[in-house]
Amino acid sequence: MSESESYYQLARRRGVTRRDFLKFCALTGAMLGLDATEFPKIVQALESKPRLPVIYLNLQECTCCTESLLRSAHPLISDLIFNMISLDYMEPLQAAAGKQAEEVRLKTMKEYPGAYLLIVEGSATLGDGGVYCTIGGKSSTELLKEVADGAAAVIAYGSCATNACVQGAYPNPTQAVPIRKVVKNKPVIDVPGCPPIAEVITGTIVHYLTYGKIPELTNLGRPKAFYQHRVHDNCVRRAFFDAGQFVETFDDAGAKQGWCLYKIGCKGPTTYNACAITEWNDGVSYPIKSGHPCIGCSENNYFDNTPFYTRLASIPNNAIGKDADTIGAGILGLTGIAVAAHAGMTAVVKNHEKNRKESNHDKNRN
Amino acid sequence: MGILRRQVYVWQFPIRLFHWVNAVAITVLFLTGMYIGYPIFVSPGEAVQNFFMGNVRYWHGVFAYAFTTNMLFRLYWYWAGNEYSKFRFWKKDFWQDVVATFKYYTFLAPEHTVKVGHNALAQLMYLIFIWISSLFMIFTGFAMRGGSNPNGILQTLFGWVVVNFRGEYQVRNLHHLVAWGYAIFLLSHLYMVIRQDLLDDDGTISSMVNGYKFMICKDALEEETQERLLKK
Amino acid sequence: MTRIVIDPITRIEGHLRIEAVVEGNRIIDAVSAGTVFRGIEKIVENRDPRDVWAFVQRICGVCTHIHALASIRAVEDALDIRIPKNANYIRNIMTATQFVQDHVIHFYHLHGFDWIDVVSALKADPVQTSALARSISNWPNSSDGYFRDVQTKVKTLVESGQLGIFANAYWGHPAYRLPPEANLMGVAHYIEALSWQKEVAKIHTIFGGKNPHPNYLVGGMASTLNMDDNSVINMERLNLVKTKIDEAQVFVDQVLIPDIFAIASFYKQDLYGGGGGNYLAYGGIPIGDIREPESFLFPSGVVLDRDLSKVYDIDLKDPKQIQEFVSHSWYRYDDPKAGLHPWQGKTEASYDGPRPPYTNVDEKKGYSWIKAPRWQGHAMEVGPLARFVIAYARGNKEIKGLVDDALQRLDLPVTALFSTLGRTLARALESKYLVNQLAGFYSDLVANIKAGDSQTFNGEKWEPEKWPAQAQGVGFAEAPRGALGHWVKINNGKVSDYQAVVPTTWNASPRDDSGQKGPYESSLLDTPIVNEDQPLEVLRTIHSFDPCLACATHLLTPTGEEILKVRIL
Repeated sequence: MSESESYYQLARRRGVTRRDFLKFCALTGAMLGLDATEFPKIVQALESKPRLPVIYLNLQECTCCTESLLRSAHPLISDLIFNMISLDYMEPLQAAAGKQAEEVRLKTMKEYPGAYLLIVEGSATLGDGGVYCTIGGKSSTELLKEVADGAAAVIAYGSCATNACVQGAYPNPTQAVPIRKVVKNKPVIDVPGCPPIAEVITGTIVHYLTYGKIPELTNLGRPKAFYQHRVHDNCVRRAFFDAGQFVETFDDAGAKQGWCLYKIGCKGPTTYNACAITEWNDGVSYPIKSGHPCIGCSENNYFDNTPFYTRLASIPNNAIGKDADTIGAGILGLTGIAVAAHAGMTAVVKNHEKNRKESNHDKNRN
Repeated sequence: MGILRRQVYVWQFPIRLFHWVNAVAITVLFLTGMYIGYPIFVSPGEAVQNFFMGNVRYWHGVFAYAFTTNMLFRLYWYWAGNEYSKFRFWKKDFWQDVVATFKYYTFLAPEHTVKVGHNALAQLMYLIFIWISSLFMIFTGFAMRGGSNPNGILQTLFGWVVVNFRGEYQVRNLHHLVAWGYAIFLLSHLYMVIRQDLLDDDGTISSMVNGYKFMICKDALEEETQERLLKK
Repeated sequence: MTRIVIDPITRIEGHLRIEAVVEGNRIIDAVSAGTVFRGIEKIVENRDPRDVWAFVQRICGVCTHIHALASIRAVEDALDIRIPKNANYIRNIMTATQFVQDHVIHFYHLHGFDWIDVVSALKADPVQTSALARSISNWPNSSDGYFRDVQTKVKTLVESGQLGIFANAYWGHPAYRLPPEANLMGVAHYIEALSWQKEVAKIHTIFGGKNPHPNYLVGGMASTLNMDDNSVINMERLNLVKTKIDEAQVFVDQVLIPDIFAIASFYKQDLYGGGGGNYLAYGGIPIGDIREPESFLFPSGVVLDRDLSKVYDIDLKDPKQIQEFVSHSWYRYDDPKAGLHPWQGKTEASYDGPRPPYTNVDEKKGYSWIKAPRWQGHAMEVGPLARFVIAYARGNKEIKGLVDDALQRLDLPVTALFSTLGRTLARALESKYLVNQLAGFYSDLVANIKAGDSQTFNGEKWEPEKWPAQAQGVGFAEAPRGALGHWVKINNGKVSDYQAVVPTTWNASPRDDSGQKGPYESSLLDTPIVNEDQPLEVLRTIHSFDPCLACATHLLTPTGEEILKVRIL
């Protein structure tokens, strides 16, 4: 694509009808609570303004999501940011700094109310009035609210934004919380993973861009296109699981034949992600294929559902502190002891009763 | 020494059928479930020649459906069945009997209220270990199965369960934990049944096969009377 | 006298705030503050030491694998676990890959716009740009048509009024010195590097399953090798590694290095930003084992006050050498003036800064979420320049050769290294140094497999029953941004204490109790500022360190001098 298109042209080129486009604009307006008379403004904005304005906020994070975004092979990140969207604010990439950077953000918020897409990487932090993450001297959580207010939709990108990831793990010293806990008045699309696969996030953005609406979500609020299947159900090692062939320790004979990593802690069976299908870095591999158990990085609380190298059932339940088998077998053992004790006690009591009765009989006879 | 007893038809055939289907289903579900949680056997040869875990999961599923159907049937029999197939925990005497039976089992009272069917404490245990935990197991179990087919009926019916546990890991973990409840129940159940059979000599064990229990004749309850009769 | 504030500093990892005091077009004081805290060191307490790499890997997604590596090394040191040769080769391949990938991203995508003026590229003549490109490199993408396309792309972007990431920057600033043609070439390579970096990252994907955040394993690597099986790493996978190594070699040789020399030749009079002049490296990338420092590709040591004639040895376990201070940080120690060795370290947040929203931090109190690490009391700069300075002073032949050759080509003295430009040059030369090694690591791995050794994991001490009740260890590595150390204490199979002292903690450190500035702060002193509204020179110097704030996060230094006006930028 050599010349820049308007958002409307792009949508048309990608097969969206004008009717659908107008519907999208109306929906966007409705989401914003705008009066119907305002709709034409949105239509006009998206028709005449070239590319979808995007504000990308980095809150409490490690920037792995940004890095992952850069790894996108289809579309290429350069195609995405120069031809499809207008990435107006994104600290790790944008040329402007300091006040000039803030100006760009404010300009986009002012010029495209209800029309820009907000992508958030990182968790919000509620601890101590927001001092654990400030940007431009402002609490990042306040900044998030401010920018989200005028957004058409919010993509919570990465596990920090969807489940507070590592900083949200026990004891969560900074009170890190997912974006959903702070942004309540906008549709939030959760795209979890630490980080998510590059093509998953760019796929989600382009979906929004192309169809003009947020993608269909799973009941956990994630795009069905990427998160409706378990890693386990599409795993390249699944045949070994079904066969009952398991790696017992790393690099053992089973490992050398690519057997299933279930017994050394693989979280594939409880993890919903596209790893096994889309795979990482343009389809090269994914953790299980490369020999390491899945750590479940797209799931809530995955850092507290540890240790990682322990088969699923043996992991201590983080609410109880012990694993299911220890608790279950422990209580079963106690029950056994109780049964034996009760049986013994019964024998003693009954024997005693019998003796008493017999002595009563004797007395009666006498 | 002997006691006069009369035969009472307590457990209707559907109840007995329910009991044994339940027993078999729970046993199979527990064993296959434990294997799924901790696969101790290793299949030899190539993966393509083996389907051991696949079969274990398959049978876990088959018996899950059998178990669920059985439970639904039992619910129906609550209304359709005889007096002994019901329980009424909202009644005052139910709870009085719970206390009385508890005292009996803890040797605080020498005798228990003789019940033809289950005593109230037993009923309470069934409510907890069979009904409530099974409800939990059925919902969590089907929720996990449903994940394999995200657009299927199971997912539609039970998908919300996973959301309530904030992810499938916790569902799986608790499903495994609650499974142990059945083992604990089974041990206690067997003990109580055998104890009952021995102490009261009422044919509790065989009643689950033929339906009959042997109850002491009401007018012969008095020990003296019995002895007198015997002396003659 | 003006106090300028730049927050956020963009094109870095994380959240950094710089306040600088400018007098007569020179910076006379500077304060750097890290403004994010996550408390990961606290979170890993009471965890399984074998898991901790995954937690601390999330310290940073740009450095992405190096924290995991330092962490497993710390645990392996504490528990005396020896790793198989193959595991070491694979770790080396992954480390060198990360250096090269990260350095390229840094140069083009984070640092590039400090040197390259995008808007000026619109004025370039594509024919002359092509001639320029071909005069410095054999890189095939250098036709005039190619550069015309790139220029058209930028032009349509600018004309659309939606400049996206290019919006509102310091374009046209007099401190940009490149001719339009060099700028156009730089923009073209910005886009190409963006596509290339994702390719070299595939090496991580093969061994670690994904990138960012590839997987690691205490005791070796999880990526099983078997040349006779199609489910694990076999020749096809290794060939992909080799292909990506070859591509990396070409990219560094034909794009990065020629660009650096071309750009440096226009900026060689700008030799500000040298800073304190103390350099530190822990050493790293062991050809043999991490316990054999003589096999390191980067020698360890300390150079003080730019004196290349003396290199001090460094001991990470000596409680007197490396200490962290918190008198200007938002943390609490029992003795606020004390310096604690990481094994004694504490991470207890205690915020006494201004409540947000704020316009200035109060430098008399704590002003940063970064601690102040010191080596025997000295603030130290770490990073590519520090590694090269130390290797140079130690007489490392290959590195000395690279440096001398570069200085000769640019006609600069050795002292020119101690500058913003020197830092950037060292980073590029380091990419060259490591990309040359990559093929060697790969050959080592293949040769070892050929010799019949396919072991990648040593499970002798995997089970906690085999561990001592108490153990402590330190894991170190040279990260792209400098010396990285993780200190761990293990008590009855669980982590009892964990401290990471990361490169940006060294570089971005606030002042210590004696008022000694951190490297960012001291490097900004004396920097010329042409336009207070557009402090391009500040960004240039700060970016030359390649800040990684999620790793570290806090810096700022004020003096008690009168400040006439505060200008927020």
